[in-house]
Amino acid sequence: MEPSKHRYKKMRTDELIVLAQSDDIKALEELLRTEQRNVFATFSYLTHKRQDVADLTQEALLRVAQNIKTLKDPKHFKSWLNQIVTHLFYDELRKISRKPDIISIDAETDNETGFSIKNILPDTKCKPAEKCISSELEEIIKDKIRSLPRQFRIAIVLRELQGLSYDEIATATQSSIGTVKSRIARARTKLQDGLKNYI
Amino acid sequence: MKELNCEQVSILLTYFIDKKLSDKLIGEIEYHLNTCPNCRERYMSMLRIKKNYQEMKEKICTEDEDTLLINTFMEREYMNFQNNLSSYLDNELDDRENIRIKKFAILSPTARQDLEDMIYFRQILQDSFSKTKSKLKKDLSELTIDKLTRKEKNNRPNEYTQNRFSLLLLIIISFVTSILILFYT
Ligand SMILES: [Zn+2]
Repeated sequence: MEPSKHRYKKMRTDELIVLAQSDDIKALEELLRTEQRNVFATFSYLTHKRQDVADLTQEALLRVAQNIKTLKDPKHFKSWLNQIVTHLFYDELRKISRKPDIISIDAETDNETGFSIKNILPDTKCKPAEKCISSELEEIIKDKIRSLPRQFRIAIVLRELQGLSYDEIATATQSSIGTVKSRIARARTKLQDGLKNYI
Repeated sequence: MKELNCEQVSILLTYFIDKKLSDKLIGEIEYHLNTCPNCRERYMSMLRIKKNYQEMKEKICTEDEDTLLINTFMEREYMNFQNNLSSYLDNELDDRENIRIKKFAILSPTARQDLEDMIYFRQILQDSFSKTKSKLKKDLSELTIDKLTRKEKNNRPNEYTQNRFSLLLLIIISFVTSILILFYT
């Protein structure tokens, strides 16, 4: 089955979607493979509990797999996928607010105070991009984003990480475009302020 | 009447220039200026100074107004710039607002710096996201497909038991109905 697997790897997302919708399980698997990192990163910046990220990613992928046939236009896949992500995130928030003592026990210990600012300065010449910033800076950025109010957090992550338009974010979060616009602008200002000592 | 001497004329010259004298005195000073080159020279230089001063004053005044106008314009545009910078970078502005932001970034060094800072900040965010993406070590796609197929398999016995339950219910209902029918007939 190696050569056919290779064939799937070369396909575009919309091609994979159409095949997956016609019960091609290998196409579906490849689609999930290409999207999983994205979903994983999105949850990493949304939720506070690290162990939840993998579970949420798994659950989102499962929902994609189960409901792929309900997606009418493959062009809307990204927006559709992020509606699933947003729903799961909101569900998670509801769960957390019901049992508040659990978060305090499992809360991450992220206060890494032992680093110097020089260590976290980005190297502008390096490639690929993920090597450019240190893990410390990545953790700081995660921390700053996760400490934003949830609506700001979700708007900035859907915009910057998922590259959704204001219109798509408005749909996913059930708010107006004007609200999305101001949430993103304010989230950026807050983050820039919070990170100015590190970048 | 006695003619005015040079001292008297020089004292009165400022009042003469400002036209704050009686017609009679004005006539006498004019007469003296026509006959005395020293006083005429003094008068001409005073006129020049006054003219220059007025020009200068006018210049300063209009400059002030201009500065004020420019400042109001810059303030207004900067506020607009700050409000729309984020949407500008997301390509969510219409053409007119887009050009307005671009023009202001050219005009104002502060705005240009804000723009550069924001672009740099976004680059850092992108790098951070890429790094996070690379941290997913486990391949979840196969696992998901496994779960999906297992769920589909699990659903079948469920349907089966559901079917058996409805069948049982149907039998009971028919049984009860037949008894009732028998009882009433
Ligand atoms: Zn004289």
